[in-house]
Amino acid sequence: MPAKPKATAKAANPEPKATPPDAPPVTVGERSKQRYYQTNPVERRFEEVGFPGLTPAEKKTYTHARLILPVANRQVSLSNKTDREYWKQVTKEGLPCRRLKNNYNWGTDKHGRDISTYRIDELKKRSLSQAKLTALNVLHQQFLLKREAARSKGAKLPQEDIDQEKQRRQEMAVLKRELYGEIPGPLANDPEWDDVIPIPQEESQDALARIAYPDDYAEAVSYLRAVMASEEYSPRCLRLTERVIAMNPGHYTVWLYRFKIVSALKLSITDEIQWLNDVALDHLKNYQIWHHRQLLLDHHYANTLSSDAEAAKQFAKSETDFISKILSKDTKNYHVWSYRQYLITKLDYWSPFELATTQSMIEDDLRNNSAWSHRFFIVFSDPSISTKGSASTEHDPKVPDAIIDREIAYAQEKIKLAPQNQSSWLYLRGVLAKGGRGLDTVGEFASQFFSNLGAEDEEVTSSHALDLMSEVYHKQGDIEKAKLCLKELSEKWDPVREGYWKYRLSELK
Amino acid sequence: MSASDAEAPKLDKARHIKYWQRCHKTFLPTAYTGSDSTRLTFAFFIISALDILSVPLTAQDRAAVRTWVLSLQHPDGGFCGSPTHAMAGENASKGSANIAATFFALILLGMAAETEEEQRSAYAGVDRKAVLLWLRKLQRSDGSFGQVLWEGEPTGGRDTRHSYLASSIRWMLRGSVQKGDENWVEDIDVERMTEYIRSLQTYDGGIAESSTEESHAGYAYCAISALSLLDRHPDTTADTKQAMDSGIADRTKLLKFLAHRQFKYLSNTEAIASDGGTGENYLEAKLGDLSLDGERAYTGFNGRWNKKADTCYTWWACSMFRLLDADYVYDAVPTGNYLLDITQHIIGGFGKAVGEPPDIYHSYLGLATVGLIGGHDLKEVDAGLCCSKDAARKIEMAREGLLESLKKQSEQRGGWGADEFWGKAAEMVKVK
Repeated sequence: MPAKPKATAKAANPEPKATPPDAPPVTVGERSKQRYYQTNPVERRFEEVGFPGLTPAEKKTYTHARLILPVANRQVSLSNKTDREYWKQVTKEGLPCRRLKNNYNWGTDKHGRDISTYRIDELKKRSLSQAKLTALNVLHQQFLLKREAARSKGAKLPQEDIDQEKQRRQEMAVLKRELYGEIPGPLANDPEWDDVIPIPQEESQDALARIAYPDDYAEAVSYLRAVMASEEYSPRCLRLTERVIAMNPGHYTVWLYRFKIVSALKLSITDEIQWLNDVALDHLKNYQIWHHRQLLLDHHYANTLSSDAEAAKQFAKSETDFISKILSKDTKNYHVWSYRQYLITKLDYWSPFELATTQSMIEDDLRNNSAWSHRFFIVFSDPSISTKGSASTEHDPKVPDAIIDREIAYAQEKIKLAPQNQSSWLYLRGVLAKGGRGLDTVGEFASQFFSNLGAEDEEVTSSHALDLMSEVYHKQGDIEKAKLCLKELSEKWDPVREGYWKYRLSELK
Repeated sequence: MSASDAEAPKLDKARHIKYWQRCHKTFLPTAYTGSDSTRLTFAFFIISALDILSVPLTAQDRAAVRTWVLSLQHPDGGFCGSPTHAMAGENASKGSANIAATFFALILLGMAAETEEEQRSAYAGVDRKAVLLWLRKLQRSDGSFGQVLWEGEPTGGRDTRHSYLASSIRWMLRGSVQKGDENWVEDIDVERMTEYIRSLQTYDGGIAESSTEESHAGYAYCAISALSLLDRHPDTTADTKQAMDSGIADRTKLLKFLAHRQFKYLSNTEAIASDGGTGENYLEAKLGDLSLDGERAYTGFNGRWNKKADTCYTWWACSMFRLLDADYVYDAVPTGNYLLDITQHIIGGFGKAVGEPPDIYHSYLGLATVGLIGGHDLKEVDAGLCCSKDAARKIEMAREGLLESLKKQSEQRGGWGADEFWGKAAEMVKVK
């Protein structure tokens, strides 16, 4: 047996008497260099003056120090006896056989910075973090083993352990990010998701319309893809859909998937609606939100509301309350108005309240065409006074005259307030068509918005009245007057639509 | 020529090219994450804008379009909206195809072809039969279409966007294959589709999601364009007006609705009022307020009655006038002025309205409208497909090329029908 090298004790004390003491190193690299010189005597002198420039003593040390290396490194093997002699000599002379190498490679950090340029305290901090991460990793491995063991017995780990592991992974994530720039997302850090292998989306270098996804989104989507593929419907998946929806509410299948979870787990529809309210307020222009709501309504109706009139009424009330709230933020939101119609039809909620809310919205803004349009629906689609399936443009004999009269009066009242408002005139025409009444029945009313047509002192306060009267005159056979209306519109009162009025003129015969 | 004509506003083509090249070559900002499901749509806007601007793509870029688009094809028919919705390998059928994505994918494949040979094989790799059968499954009994098949059922709105997309996809892939031909695939119910669209006209003559809802120029465009594509014949025989005639309940009222989407845009006042709170309503011009001579006139378009002007509605309205042969209803000059002076952005692209930054959607539809109106050194634009006429022609070539190759394949099978061949070989073996 070769003697164990015991050189450390004395080799650590080599001779450099000539060199002045170094200034304490600032960076890790400087310290390495100093240590290198400390363990390689005469090396610095050698670098400075070359071999011929060394003193004889230095030459001897330098040569001996080199000569011993092949044996110390076991490149040359000696007989037992010679080996013993060798080590005796090395120890006696204090020859340095344990020597640090030059240009130690410290590697780079996450920013690509050479660690040898770190200050000593920076490295110390980094090493501490690495040690801490290693320790945490040991505990993490323990957790995995413990869980595996529990699972094989069909048991579960206590919540306390899971909570600790969650905490641990958060700490590990912070450390990994700090040390190596790794960004393990929140799901990878959650033991609850350990059994899911995420399926990241494939993204080639020359893919089109690439988006700078936030890290959390890319992670959440890769887990979503995995659970949707394995058709898992569970509370954790419900929470996952929420994560994805918050970042991409336009995701066209996450909503369908979410609905599937809600129905599979028989979750409370009102809770889901409550949650949806906040999402809707955050994303006013999103379409999927309202489609989801419609699915929830259908589901709720089939399971509960269809057989419980009181619950249906309650639900309709709370829904219309929320709709009013959201419409106060965006009075013409198409999806919201669409859903409102769907709700009313589905729950048969043709209440005077509905007419009243539309009315107050029109009063707030006479030009809110969405509100006018809704009023038309409320009045003329109400099954108690209308024919099912009657087209919006056609006469419906079932609608009582009183209602037609009421609506004509309503439109006329609003027209007088704003004669140039398109919505109220269109409404008036729509009501007349529903009532099977000719435009001539409002000829007198329309005539008040212009005077002295064709004369020098012609006055017009509503171009829509002129348009309507051109049709009335035409029907009455007064082509010249009809033409005059269109001519005045084209040339004087509504020239932006000159082409349209001229086309109308050309159609007059 | 008056002074104002001489100084007519110009399309800053170089800036638009820069804008679209930036969209093409760099990551879209994080804010687009909410549009992650419609990346194929954005890819279409980008590639098609460069096409309208006559910026040629390199062979590598064109190959990349093909590879990427085909990677989004779903094994059961259709294309997925983005890599988020597409799955690879054995999970492929767990992805989710979308009707809009399929429309944009097919246009992109056509657009990425350059030489005639490339054009004829642009649809190689598209499973025509699967797409057409999938399209059939997306149609509901009322004639409307869903956007996605979910557990075998069409889901999503019943609005005309889906009818339009279905009609376009059908035009792009179906061709004039007759019943009894090898490549015959059961068609969608065209009659129901037409009837359904017909039922959507509202009391004011417009078209809405349903006849009781608020009329909307976007839904109207989709309805009219869907009908026009049903009428567009795949072979050289003249187009008919059959679907257009039976799918529009009241053309006069519809024209009136469309004519009123335009209004005199009061530039100064709206710019000031945009943060002053006039809300959603446009500013009514004072009745009979004529422009002074030489003053530049602007025509803005809105999508619904009494709403503000928006760049995209110049497209939805003006292209509809084209489809209805009713260009006389609007004046192209002040319309172009509005786009070029008011919403064209200094960094390229178009904003939604005055003072708004450009975004991909409005930039594309603004550019397409300028191309539709004509001039400004842009390619001519196809009002029905919303891409250049050049691209539309390539798509026709792609379809014919695909049908030809399918025919060849079936002929080969007919002559040396696989079953027959192996059957005979087996017999011969037995005899020996």
